[in-house]
Amino acid sequence: MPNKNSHLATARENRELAIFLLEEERSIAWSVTAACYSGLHLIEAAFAHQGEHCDDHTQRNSRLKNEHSLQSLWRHYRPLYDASLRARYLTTDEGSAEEQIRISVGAEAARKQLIDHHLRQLEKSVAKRIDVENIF
Amino acid sequence: MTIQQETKRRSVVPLIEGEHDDVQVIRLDGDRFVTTAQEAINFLSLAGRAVEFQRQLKELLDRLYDWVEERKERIGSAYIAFGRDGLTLVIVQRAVAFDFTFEDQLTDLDLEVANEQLFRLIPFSTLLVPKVGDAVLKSFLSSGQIIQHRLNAEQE
Repeated sequence: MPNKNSHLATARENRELAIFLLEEERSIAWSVTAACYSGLHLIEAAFAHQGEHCDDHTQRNSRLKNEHSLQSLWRHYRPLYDASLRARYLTTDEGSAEEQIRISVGAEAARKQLIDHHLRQLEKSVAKRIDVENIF
Repeated sequence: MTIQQETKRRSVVPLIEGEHDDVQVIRLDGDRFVTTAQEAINFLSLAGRAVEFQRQLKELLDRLYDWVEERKERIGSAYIAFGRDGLTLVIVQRAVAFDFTFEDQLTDLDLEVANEQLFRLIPFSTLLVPKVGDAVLKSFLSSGQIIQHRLNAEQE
């Protein structure tokens, strides 16, 4: 299984991809999904730092919600996770999930709320846990 | 009205009825509560703890009715979806633009319920959805995508 540094590298790559996909509005839906996976790998880096690992979404989400020390991570990971769910499965009457997220969120709010706020807060929280100054 | 999916993997119970300024929270009372609780018990394989589960479910629903009631000016519709993954409170906004501050309130509720001993038998989650057409919503709720995702049917 990947180690902490591998998870951190993947988190950085996914964040860069998320930002690239938002530029010129290439794909907001896939940008949001990449942002979610960046968050997921940040969390797995924190687990790996303690020699732990989660096998799947259910196990990870359950730990984040139910372990008091992890709830600050859940507070910022959950919006990314649910945005990714909507970005893939919630469509418009005639259109795609991409069209739905363009109408309901848009590139600017996706950047501001999901990447610059929630993903950033998650990064700060994880950085503190793994004793580094910053990750991105 | 309870919509039972063909696959019997998930049921969706509406929590709000009406339109615009005339919406009302629907309380599951009497037979409807018993039927709903029994379906949830079957989904969650909790037959051995049915009485305790029913007590917890009643408390949880009361909490959710109040939560929805207090915010119904922002809510177009609300549903309790339940399946093998537990209960999901699905809130559909009145507005098309996704409301990130409202989502923060749902996160608070999500954490409150998840950590309350009173509800320890009920796996609980929440999901906020912007205003969408009825057909899209029905498809989204019944497609199995929510349950698939919560159960990690997709490999990471």
